[in-house]
Amino acid sequence: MPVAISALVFSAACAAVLFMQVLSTGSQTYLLGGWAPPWGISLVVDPLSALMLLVVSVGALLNLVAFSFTPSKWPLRKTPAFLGLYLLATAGHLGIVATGDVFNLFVFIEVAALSSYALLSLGGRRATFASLNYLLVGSVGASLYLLGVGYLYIKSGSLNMLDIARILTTMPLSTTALTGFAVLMLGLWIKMAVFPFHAWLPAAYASASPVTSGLLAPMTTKVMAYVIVRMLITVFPQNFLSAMLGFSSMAVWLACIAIIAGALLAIAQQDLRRMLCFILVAEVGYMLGGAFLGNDTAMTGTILHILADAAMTLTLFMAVGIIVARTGSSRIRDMDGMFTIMPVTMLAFTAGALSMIGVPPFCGFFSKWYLISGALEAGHWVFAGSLILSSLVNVLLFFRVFERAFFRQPSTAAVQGTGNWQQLAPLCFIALLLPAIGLATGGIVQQIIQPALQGVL
Amino acid sequence: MLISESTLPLLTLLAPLLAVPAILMARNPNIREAFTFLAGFLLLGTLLLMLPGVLAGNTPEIVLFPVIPGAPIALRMDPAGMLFALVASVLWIITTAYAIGYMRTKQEQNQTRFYAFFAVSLFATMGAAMSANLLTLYLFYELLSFSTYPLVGHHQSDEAKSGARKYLTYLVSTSIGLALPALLVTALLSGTLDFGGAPLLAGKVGPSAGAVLLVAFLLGFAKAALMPVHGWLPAAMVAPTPVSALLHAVAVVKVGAFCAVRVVTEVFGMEFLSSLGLGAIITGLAAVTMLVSSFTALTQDGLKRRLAFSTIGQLSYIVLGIGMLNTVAAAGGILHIAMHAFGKITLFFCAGAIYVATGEKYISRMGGIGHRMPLTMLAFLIGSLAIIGVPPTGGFLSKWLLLNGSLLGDHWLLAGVLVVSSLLNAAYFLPIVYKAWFCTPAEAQHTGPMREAPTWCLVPLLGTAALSVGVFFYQETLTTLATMAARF
Repeated sequence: MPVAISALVFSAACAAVLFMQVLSTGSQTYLLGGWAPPWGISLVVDPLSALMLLVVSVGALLNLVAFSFTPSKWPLRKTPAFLGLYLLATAGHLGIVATGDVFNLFVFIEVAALSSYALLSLGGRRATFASLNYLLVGSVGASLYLLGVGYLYIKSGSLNMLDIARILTTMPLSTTALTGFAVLMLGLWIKMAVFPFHAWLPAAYASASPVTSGLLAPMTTKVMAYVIVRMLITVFPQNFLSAMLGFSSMAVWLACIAIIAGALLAIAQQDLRRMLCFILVAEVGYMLGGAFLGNDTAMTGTILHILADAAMTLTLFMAVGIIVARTGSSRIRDMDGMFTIMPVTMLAFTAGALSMIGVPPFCGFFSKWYLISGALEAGHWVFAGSLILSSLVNVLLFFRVFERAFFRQPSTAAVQGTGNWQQLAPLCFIALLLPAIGLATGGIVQQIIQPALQGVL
Repeated sequence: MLISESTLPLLTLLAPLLAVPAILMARNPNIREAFTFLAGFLLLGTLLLMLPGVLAGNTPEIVLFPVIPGAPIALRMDPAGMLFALVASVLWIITTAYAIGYMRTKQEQNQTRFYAFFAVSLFATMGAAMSANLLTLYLFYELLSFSTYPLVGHHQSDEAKSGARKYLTYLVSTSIGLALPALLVTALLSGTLDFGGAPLLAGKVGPSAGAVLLVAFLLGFAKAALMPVHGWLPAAMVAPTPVSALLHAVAVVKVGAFCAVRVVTEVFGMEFLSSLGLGAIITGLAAVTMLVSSFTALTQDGLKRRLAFSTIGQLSYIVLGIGMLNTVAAAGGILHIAMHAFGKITLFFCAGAIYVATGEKYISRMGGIGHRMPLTMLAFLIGSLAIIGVPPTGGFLSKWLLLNGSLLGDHWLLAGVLVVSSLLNAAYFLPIVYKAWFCTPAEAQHTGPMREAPTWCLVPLLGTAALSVGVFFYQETLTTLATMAARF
């Protein structure tokens, strides 16, 4: 345990230092083994990926710290194995973010995914089945991605992101490259749980142990969304999207369906964790739609939402995870009087919920602001409407919980005491980050997102 | 000066918020309430420090967070905001005193929670009053919806919960579903959301798009309770009376009316609206609301519900005033924010005092109550006169300006509506007062000797009654602010 935590502390510290350096001196490249880019594998960190590295490493750290000190009905029987997998999954996701090579990215996707399957399956009988399901679907997604990379390699003869981008701009558009683009994106959508490829997500995350879903729910979908953004702004030249207007408009419509379906399915849930999972499905729709709307504002919204959603999903899953760990139940009808029993946890949950609804000054509002503005700019009224609808549904979803948790008396068998500070401190930290990120939106957009989008779209 | 003028709005904003941790930490109820008073006086102090500057035409301004280009989170104190903030802060202090009497006598549960959320609500109200742009206004508007939700459901009974649910559903679904999209479209069209410059949408929309946006804004800020989005206000009456008094007669509803003022004066601009010919939408909505709610009020037997419907009607006076698109009527509308506040809070205080002293909630069971609670019923009479608009009460001033404005703009029909509505106000309030004293022994449900509500309840309600009369004689500051606000 101490080893794992110190490893994550080290990782987070490195990410923070790197972030500062990249902000002040510009992108950094590291050549693995010293081989020059088109042949060797390079790690490239620009402001955007530096931010993502920070998000992933800090999130993994906070989550592990919080749950290490939470007595749980999921005793970490295979603790060394569990921690190893936990670190491996984190490393995989960090690698996805940092790499500058499309094949290396596939390798990291598999590293992250394989360790995730194993982690998720540690949650009991239902979890084993759910993670098998995830394994099957996830493998299809990864294979499709690889297939897309193959097409690109056929055309460009390169695997390095910048190199591919350079070669593709000099070439006329070809069906091969366009097919590669489409197949690659499809693979990423499956990994990102875009509706209707979403079914693995609620099954796997809702049955896993709280610590696992607290790690993966904020991380996997967001990192995949980051990969999509990276592909769109760095790898593929702008004419790809304009050549495939049908494809991008399909993506936006799919996003609308994902948002509405996620929202409706969330209403039907009786279990808090499953409800959050379906909200996550809707949030995936936000990021997908923004990425494919094809204007700067919407792309800014997507990137902001990757950040915001990572923070608020982490808050919500950690808060609910702590509740599950301490009371043993995440059914909504067992939430009676939860504000009395665990005031601090519920306050953090409230912050996460308000951010999900999109209440200023929480960060969820500002990303949604950019997304809707982008939708209006593009004249896509349905996407704008879906976002508004999703906000309204979130109000319903969360206030259904609050009404029980706030106004009802706790049931007699409730746990007493507010919990120890080691589990609450990380939760409070991340909950306080939500408005802080929101209020820092101006700086984030100016310093990180605008440079990343310059010359693109 | 020790503190620069531009930080004063920030202090004003933070004063109520600083009280929250103090309220939560306080071990003893007396200390807890002392903190609320302290915050209240601090708040009032900062406002009074700013007042001379604002009267001289300054607008102290401070940018807090540059979140979105063209729409930072920023504070700016202008005459309209000053008028509203002054009224709300004075009444907060009085309401705190009243709440002590009410909550302790009724032995309400969770009083710490109550005072804490009360302070947060005031924070949100101050923020809304001082918002320098639409985004900041929206931020505090939403914050106010969420922070008052626990207050509405305070009793935790099934009735309270369903009332709170209805309250939130109306307010949040309209703000997210109508106001936010309108806000985004405005931002897209004008590129900025800042108040104080040229009206945001002037010259940028045609009549039909303008009409859609206008309606989306007016109904989206449902706290103004224009029909058909008024249903939350009667539902909110399940709250403890201090909440109904300060929040649902002053702070929350006036934030709604205040948003309507901002929409007309800053988003569209009066000249632009009249060039589009859209004033009729505003006045039409307001006039219908005014008449329908007054008729509905006549049929209500629950005293607080009758007051709620009366509030819906009176809010429409404000909207009607600015909707007539001339400065005199607009000044009347803005002044009505203050004048209605003093009158209506008195009436709510009286309703609460009657409930505390006798347990009665229904008008049909208040025969002869004037013999038992003469001072309360005297205050009730004064409050009623202020709402009806009879001199020497403050309500006369605002209604006078409104009527003048309507004649100035040749709105004969609206002038008629104003007169009819005032008569209806008299028709639903005066019988209560009449029955309180003059009823046959058979009808009397209450008799002397005098047994008033506790002093902590009685003194505040006499205070606000005195204020309702006082503002008639010392009107200068308020009318100046209202006139300045209407000119902006």
